Amino acid sequence: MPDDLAEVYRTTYRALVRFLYRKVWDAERAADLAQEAFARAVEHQPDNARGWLFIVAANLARDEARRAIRERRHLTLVKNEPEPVAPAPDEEADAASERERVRAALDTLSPRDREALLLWDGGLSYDEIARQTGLAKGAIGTTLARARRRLVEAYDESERHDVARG
Amino acid sequence: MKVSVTMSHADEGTLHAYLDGELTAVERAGLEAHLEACAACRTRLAEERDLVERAQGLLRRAAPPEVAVPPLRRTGGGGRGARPLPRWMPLAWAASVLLALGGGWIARGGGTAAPAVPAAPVLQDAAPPAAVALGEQDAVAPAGPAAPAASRRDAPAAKTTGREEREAAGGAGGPTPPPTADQAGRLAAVPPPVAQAGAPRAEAVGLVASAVANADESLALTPLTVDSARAILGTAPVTIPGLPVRRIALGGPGVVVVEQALDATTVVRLHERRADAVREVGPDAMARQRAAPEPTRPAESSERLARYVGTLRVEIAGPVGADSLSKLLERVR
Repeated sequence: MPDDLAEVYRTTYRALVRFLYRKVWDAERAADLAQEAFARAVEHQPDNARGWLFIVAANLARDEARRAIRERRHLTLVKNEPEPVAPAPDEEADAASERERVRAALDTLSPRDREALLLWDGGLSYDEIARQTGLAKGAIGTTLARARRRLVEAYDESERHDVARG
Repeated sequence: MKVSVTMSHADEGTLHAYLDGELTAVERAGLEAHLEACAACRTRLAEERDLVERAQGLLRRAAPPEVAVPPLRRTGGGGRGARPLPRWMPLAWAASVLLALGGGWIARGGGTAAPAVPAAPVLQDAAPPAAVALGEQDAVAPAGPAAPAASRRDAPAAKTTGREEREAAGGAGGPTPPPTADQAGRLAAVPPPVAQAGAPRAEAVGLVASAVANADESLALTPLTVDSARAILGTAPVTIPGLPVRRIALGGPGVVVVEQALDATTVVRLHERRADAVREVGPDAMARQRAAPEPTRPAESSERLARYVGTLRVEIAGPVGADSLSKLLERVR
């Protein structure tokens, strides 16, 4: 692996896992897909490795999501009994429900707003996000503003909902 | 970037770009001049800053656990498209190598086992171990290669179509219910963690790994994080100090393979397992593993050298002479 790619790997791996995690919602799968993306980068030696990695990762995650949908559909065919759910420790359960709530809030964003937000969080610049989403660079600030506002509002809404329900 | 601050107030896009450090120097100077003169925009800016921080905070809560950056999984050089198989990919190739290797094993399982049975689906999704499938085949008519339907029904196929078919049959009180719908459902619902539920498949992969080693050393093994390796071994995997770790992978049930590079083209593998687990794995399995043809690399010694390091049994293999391997093994800690 050339040095610059090794450097990109070192500096981008975690961000890429995070980006993937918020798409597949499974830490191990996210790590696998990140490795897969880097493996492809080693093979292809793209010019802008970082941007390229996020594109590949997004594609991998999309394939993964399709597969998950197929499996779920299949699951409803074969599943007879509910899964036994092991009670998680409080802290873990709290973190999990937080995560679920953020996930649900993210789901309320339009795909393009969500993508821009996740890419920004992954460390991409406005320029890179623009290239990747097809938006004009001048529109990225507005897009991120809208995405952030929607995320926070949806999250707060669900919290209010929970409080109201008791 | 269009900065809209001249006429009236700064728009939120500009404020976010400012907060994100994405304005050019000129744009920034223009905005800051406006902010100095405009209390409303300063308030807006403070609000937007809160919003940015809150959004970041929420995203942080939806992040995976921070882990050490693992060594990059190496793929086959030369761009042949050879890369580690995603876990869900059909392992037909593995099955066929397994069949090719496993003549003796199959013969032991039952005289009639026709190796020609297309048993590819057997290994998928960590479905019941191959041995079960082979056992069941005894009860089936000696299915030749021309009977894919029969073998798909009777082998515990995990492939979607196969499973659907099978589950449908099971649900209707069909003749081959063994793995319950519930079990299959769990398999489908929870992709098996690499080190645990994936074990049956991993075992098969471990068996074939050495046979395909020269085709591509990285093909057959499931990559592991240091943490999962630690979970398997009960301690951190040992290494040869001073050599870069190329990757860590699952080499079979309870076996962690650590690959370290001697130079750009030479890699040695440490096969590590708990010393107290050697017996559990069984001498048979070990013998099988060693009996698998391994003269695939030039000069690779066919007999692995082994030693105990702490609580681990470590075997070393690589395309260098036994003397060198022995010296490298000495350095493992």
